[in-house]
Amino acid sequence: MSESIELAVVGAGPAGMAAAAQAAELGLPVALADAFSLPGGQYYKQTPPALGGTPTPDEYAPALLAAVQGGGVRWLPGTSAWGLFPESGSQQDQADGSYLLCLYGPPGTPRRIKARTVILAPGAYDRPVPFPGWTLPGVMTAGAALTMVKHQHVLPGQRILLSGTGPLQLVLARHLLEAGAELAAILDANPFPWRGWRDATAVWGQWARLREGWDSLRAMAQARAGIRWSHLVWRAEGDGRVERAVVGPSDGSSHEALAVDTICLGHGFTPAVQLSRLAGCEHRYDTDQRAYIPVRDQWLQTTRPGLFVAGDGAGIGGKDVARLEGALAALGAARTLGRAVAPERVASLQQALDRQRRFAGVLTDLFPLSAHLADLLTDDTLLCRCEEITVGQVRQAIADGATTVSAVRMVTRAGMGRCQGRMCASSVAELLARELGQPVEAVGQATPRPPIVPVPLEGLIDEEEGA
Amino acid sequence: MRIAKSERRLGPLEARQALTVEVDGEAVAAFAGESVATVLLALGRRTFRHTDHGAPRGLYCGMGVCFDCLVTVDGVENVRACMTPVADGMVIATAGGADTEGGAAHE
Repeated sequence: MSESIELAVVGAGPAGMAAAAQAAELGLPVALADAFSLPGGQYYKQTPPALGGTPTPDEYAPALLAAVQGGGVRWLPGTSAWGLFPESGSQQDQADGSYLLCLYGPPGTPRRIKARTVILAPGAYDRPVPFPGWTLPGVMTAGAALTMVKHQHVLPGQRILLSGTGPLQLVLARHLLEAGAELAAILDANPFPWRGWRDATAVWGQWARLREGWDSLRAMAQARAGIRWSHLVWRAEGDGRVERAVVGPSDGSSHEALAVDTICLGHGFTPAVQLSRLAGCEHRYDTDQRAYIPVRDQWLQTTRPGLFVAGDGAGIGGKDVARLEGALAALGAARTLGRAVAPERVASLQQALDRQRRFAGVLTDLFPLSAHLADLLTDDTLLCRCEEITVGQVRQAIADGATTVSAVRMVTRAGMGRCQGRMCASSVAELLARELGQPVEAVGQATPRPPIVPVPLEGLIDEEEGA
Repeated sequence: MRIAKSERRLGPLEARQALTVEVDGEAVAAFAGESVATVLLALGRRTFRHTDHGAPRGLYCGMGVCFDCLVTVDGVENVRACMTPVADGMVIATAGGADTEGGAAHE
């Protein structure tokens, strides 16, 4: 089953939904695929209707959700995009579409889409921060805990430690407290953001965000769950599950054991660049975000013509940046397809984007990834969760002469498991860079290979071609 | 049938559509809209599987990225518990053994 279409969008968070909605408004035939069964992604995640549905995440979400599930968008739920290839073959391929998008979804979902233009809106995932014991059951990301308490209506644990940085921790803390959980402590790896007053102009007018922050602080004050600034969780301990967290100042000057059954890690997010890298787009290493991000022009087009990336998948900017970028990328795709695009619409989107990006920049500035996280690693800390490769094994590979992420992968298998390096690639690269005394860019990246998510063997076969 | 300790599930349960699933051979109550991971957490299960080295693993990323929460669903191995909605009669097998948090209640 394969189809041809003008525009294919991957990922149905705010960026992908806004892209599909904008394209539909322009009358472009557009398909939108997402691995989850409900549109919304992480920022606009919906509580399943059977669990009571969800309150509206923000003022923009209802219209986007309605547009995606309305008639103008070919909506492909529960569908994983496992491959994306520029078409360079026959003339007919050129005429049919510039990209081949490989999908695996429920029965009836096309296995291949030939798309003349593609917008990737893959979003981001919680940045993995290895430390001793982080694979014990009960250690989970802040995102996982938030999904459980807010959208699945189940408590992820009873006595909970939050460790990470930034305002999302406050949001999670408030939901956990309201649900009746006990918070052992909230650790922020960074010092109290006194410098924030300098950014008052960027925050001015962000009333909804300030309100949410205030509500969270008030809930925490009532529960007497204060934040310990410049603190980290150094170790998770327990017999088969988390029973204790060893916490302390980020300079390692002292340690204290807290009895907890759950540890939530919220050190920000890292862009999901697997598809854009597979498609051969140029990426650059962003030293602020400590991540590779795709190089884009003012239309958010990558170095591959007709292939755009919008939202957190091109650098963490939050839901409003994502939503605006999605719409702008759709205008860019329309322009590529020879459609008329109103200049005033483009200008107003770019103006709004500038403002939202300033706010996102303040957050990155105030709550950076702590430099002390590297100090958490011991030789027996697992770096690669899938293949169970330790820091010590990677250090040995480096001592034996490995100087790149690819070489470490070949020697140790780190990054070769089911998650395909999403959990360990950045940690391996940073460890290599530290040990070798080089910048992270110098140690390279592992080559992405399709399928970028595990797909059953039968799912790799295009039924029409196989018939 | 085993009912998970009620305080792990939040909010009123009366309006929800009750389902019955099987977890490691035992009939267990679940609700429409829940994921397999939610049902296991509500039972007090922390360990969803063991690695090749025998290490316990459970819910980590909660969004389909890390592949740590793998269970067997209706005979299909390596299914992500966090991404899989439960259905009535679903048969779920963990490799988590008898690991439950002290005191998942029996009713």
